[in-house]
Amino acid sequence: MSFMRKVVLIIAGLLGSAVLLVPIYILWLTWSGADASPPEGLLTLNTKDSTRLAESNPTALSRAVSEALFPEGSEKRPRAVIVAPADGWQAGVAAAPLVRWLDGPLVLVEEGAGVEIEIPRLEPAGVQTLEGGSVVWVGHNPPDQTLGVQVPAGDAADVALGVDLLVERLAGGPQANILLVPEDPLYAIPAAYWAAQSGDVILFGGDPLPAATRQALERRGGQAHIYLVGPVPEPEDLSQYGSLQRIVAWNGLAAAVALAEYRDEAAGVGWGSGGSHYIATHNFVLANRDDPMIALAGIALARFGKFGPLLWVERDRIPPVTDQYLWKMKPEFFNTPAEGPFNHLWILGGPDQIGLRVQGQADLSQEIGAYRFEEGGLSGMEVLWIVWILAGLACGLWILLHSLRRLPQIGPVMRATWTLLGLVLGPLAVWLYRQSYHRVHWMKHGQMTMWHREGFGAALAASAMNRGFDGPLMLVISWIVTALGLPLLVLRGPGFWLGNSMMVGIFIAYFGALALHWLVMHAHMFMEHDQLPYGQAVRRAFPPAFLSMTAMAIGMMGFMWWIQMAELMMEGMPEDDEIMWWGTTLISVLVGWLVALPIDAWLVRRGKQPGTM
Amino acid sequence: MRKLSAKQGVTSISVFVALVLLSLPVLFGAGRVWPSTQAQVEPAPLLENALVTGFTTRYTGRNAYETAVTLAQTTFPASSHANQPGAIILARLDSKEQLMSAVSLIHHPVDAPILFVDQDRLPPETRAALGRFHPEGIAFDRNVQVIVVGEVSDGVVQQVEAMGLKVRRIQGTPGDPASLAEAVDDYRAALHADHPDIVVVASLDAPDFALPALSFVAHMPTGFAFVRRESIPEATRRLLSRRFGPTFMYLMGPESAISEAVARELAQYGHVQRLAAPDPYALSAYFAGYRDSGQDFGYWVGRQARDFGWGIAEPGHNFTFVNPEAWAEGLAASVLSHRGKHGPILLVQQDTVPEPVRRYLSETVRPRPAAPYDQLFNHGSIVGGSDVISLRLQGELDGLLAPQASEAED
Repeated sequence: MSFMRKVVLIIAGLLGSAVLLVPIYILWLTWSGADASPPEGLLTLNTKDSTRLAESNPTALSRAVSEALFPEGSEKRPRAVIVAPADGWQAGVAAAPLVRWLDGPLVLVEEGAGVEIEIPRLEPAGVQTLEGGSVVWVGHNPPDQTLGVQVPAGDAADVALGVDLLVERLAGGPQANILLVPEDPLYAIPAAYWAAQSGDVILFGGDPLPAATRQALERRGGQAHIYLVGPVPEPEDLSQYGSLQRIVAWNGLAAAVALAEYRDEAAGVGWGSGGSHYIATHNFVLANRDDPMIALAGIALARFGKFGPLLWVERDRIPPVTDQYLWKMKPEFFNTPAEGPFNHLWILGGPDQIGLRVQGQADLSQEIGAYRFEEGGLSGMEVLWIVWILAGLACGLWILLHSLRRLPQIGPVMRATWTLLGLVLGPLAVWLYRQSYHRVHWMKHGQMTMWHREGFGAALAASAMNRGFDGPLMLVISWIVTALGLPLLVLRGPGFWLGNSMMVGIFIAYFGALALHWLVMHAHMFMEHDQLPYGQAVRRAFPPAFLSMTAMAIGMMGFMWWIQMAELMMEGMPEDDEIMWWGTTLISVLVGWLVALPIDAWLVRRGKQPGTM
Repeated sequence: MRKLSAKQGVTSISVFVALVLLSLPVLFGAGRVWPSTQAQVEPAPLLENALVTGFTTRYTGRNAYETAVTLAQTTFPASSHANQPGAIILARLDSKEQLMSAVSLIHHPVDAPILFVDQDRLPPETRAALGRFHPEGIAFDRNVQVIVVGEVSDGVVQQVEAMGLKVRRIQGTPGDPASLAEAVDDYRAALHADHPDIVVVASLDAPDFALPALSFVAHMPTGFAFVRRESIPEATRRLLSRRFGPTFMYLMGPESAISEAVARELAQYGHVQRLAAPDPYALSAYFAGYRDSGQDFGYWVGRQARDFGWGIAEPGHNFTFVNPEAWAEGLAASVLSHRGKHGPILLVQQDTVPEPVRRYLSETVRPRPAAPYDQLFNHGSIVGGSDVISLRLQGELDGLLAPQASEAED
């Protein structure tokens, strides 16, 4: 094998590896979330789209929530305060609808403790229906028996029945909508968030059906709308009490997402925050799945402030079901990011409950972005780029294997060129390959195989030869200079734009690719085709290499400039670590091929470039 | 002989390409996995930073340096490569004019918060934040990590460089704020290969009227220039004449800030509009609702539109509340309009919501109750400690931002 041929093949191999590896590297960056700053040195636990209520125990957190939602200086006063025990979640869940009916926060207290601090601060107005009572104790025996209204402690189902009777008094009749929940906080607390928002009643299911639950159901006279949340058992025919719907979820995490998305428009049940309501604001409360009492302490956020449903996360990870839902709900602007919609997150507990990295990634998922691409995630358009990149890999591989088996006569350099073309042009390269070799006559001419192509076929084959090498060259050189940081020259006067970094990058990519394309690839082609020594081949190669590649560069770089600088500038110009950069540049190669095609045809016609290889 | 030299040339080219290509994964992989960690351990998050209400969040620190760090950390949580800042802008805490010029660097492709320095000192708060962020650098300016703006001493720059950070300095003629604005404009023009045709014009004699507009400058690529009440500085004339085609100038403030004579003289560079209100508070409410759109520039094959101003006259938006007496923190808070909430700045007093701002919040942009999945919310960012905006006022603002049913008059 000649020396030049070795050089061409080595460069082709390196180019091919770069075209293969760079997208993988970019995807690894996106997936791994590398480059985090250490948590030390943080002065705030809030981010632009998330607010943390950083209390680590349920009683303190419930107070912090009540202070945030009924702040000093605001005219807003609750009608009454709801008190539930901090040592069990069932009573608090049952009490949830009272948040709506009493327009007040739920405060969690330790056994035997009172609410001496909260009541004077909140100044609840009192409820006429409850004889002016301004505190409602649910499942918690107050230290002072005379204070407010009580739903005595007991079984979960009994407490829920007590709350149901109280709601009936407050609302002036039994509420038709019922959420029937299993005695599992991962299912019950997300349901309670909806109850707090809507005032719909929570009842506990079981096998057998608890007597208190049956009693509450019977009071609806067959007119209930029953929503079974998750795997709640149906030990008997519940349809005798009214209509039945099941909100299906295979675990509590999925149940929280299902409740956030669920909507029964006829009965007005469910948050309905699915993908179709992308115009409005959507807020979410995040809590650690291992700490249900913390989640319960935040329940007033389901009704007041920037309210929203509860979603479960882990301390160090956003579970996939929650993560997918959050990314699906990421707000996207159409014209400018000022138009919204804007989402917000509430983070319950300190960094030991929900880690700072989880908060940061959740914030990223809810930051308004352009609908076209996203740093740190993949937009729909970027997924299309990935499909195009994968198609390129498949096409390059197919051309390589096919030519090895079916076209052994084309030789290693042509094979490498076609493979590279497959990597950057994908299906188009396969089409060109077929046009160039399928049912085309060929003959041996010394070492060379010559193909006799009709009409435009020769021009297509010549264009493939050119782009197979200079396309990947410009792509890879552009990526390298962008990754190393493009030089920028601040100039004044009419030529100031020549100092623009992308312009400088274009010149580097153009001259670098031209030098290699001319001195290595094209020179080698003429050495083989015309049996010339290197020096003569270089001279012979210059006009076609220069003309064809200049036309290609004008098309490719012009398109790159337009799409990256003008079209995507609003969303932040794509950089080397984004699939958007790689994808738009690949498409620019295609545009370059198209623009240079007439030049290639002219070169072939004038005999300046062979179309027979 | 000739053949041999060609061979050598080709060999050296291919060896060079091979080395560059092969070293890339090593270089970049290593840089990503092991970022240099120079962070110093800082005190735990501040209590006042936890002051949140249902519709507001407060961002503050024990001093203005820390407030700027808080705002930067809020905007760039740096939980991964994706929400790291591109760079950090350093500007002087004590110079309103220099800070104002620095704001127009916040936007993409720089993508950076402003932290404060003194003329001769790199404060420990800022140093710690620089070490912690260790930004990835601006790909469009040789991966520069820190931009030092204005009259900052060489000693400070050397301290930053000693931290292993790549620095670019942007300086004007000392003592001439208009020339610093020009230098920033030149830098931005090189980055974009374009001069934005929209220019916010502030008065050096009454700069507070321009405070509300700077949130928009951080939000959108917009030019920024200074004039005096009765004259146009030479640097500003150069800046304006450098634009290709007409310039659209938006004068911030009444005739007491920029005289009618100056407005008439500026018209030679393009189209002039004045945004006037009796005081900066009223102007902030006016500017939040202001929008001017129309034709910018173009030939018969294609024309570009111009679009200046927030134009927010409906619910579902976010606002940054700033006390103009704490203007430095307010200017640093422009970064909140760059990422995340993208909202205008509204000016308030320490314990009072000025009447125009109150009317804007309670009448123009008030959300009305709706179905839970269709509800729009407003959000407020409170900048500074309780000495700048009181806790009581935060509660009052919370009430003004909350959805409220409209009441018909009987």
